[in-house]
Amino acid sequence: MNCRQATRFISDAMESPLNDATRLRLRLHILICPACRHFARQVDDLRQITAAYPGPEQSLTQAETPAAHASPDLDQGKKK
Amino acid sequence: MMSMNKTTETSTGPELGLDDRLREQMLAFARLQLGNNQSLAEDAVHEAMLAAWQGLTDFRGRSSVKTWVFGILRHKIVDILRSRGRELLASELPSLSAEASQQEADPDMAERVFNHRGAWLRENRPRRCQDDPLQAVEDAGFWTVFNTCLNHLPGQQARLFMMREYLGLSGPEICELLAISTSNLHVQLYRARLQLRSCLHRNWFEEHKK
Repeated sequence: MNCRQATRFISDAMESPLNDATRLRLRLHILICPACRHFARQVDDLRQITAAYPGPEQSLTQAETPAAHASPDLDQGKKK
Repeated sequence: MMSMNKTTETSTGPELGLDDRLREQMLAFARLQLGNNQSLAEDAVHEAMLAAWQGLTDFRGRSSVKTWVFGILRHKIVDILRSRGRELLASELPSLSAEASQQEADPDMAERVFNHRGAWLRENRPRRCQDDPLQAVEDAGFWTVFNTCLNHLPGQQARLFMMREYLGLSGPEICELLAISTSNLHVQLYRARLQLRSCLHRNWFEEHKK
């Protein structure tokens, strides 16, 4: 199994269970491949992050000043 | 795409952020989810706004008005997808299948991420990141990046990804509503995840490493 296949299986496993043989091969791959291990963790994070999606405002209004209701004060410290 | 709207400071709605601008954003999102069907998108937004107004007294805390209203909109979109999915399908079927088959034939994204042996290319190889990436959801700047990354996905991929991960519909339900195959859904979700992860890491998580 290469990384391209492994990442596909990681994504598929988020949709429905893999068969036993594939799951085992995927585990072995992940055991020896830190990049795919990070990938698995990060797409799972992506799922949790997306569930908290606040709507498309920022991309549509980038040029505008944040409005009073857009809670602009949360992130000042991290912007640097 | 949209213009800056003047808000009327005197009424309750704008004070809470239920202004025309928010409405435009909701409409844009509803259109994306409802296959560019303008009238269904307007229905969804109208019903969500109505429900929001009716629930105004229950609402506390103004910083998350938008999240709250979008939560309502999400339910309305799901309702519409469930009750009128067939109608939607009839209007957009040709473009759906055309785009799907085009994407099947276009392995571009994976080519940019992996080499010919299927190993990660160096610049896309996932690395350890922050201790708690989920904290990013608190950061308005993160969502700017997220939306930009989302907008870079092919439209159909972005839509399927958001149906699955934001609207929370199950895979089988999406396949049935849109009459696409499971393997088509899975390959598109895979590509969306591959590209979004990569985009977010390049533009946010690696920039904000502690």
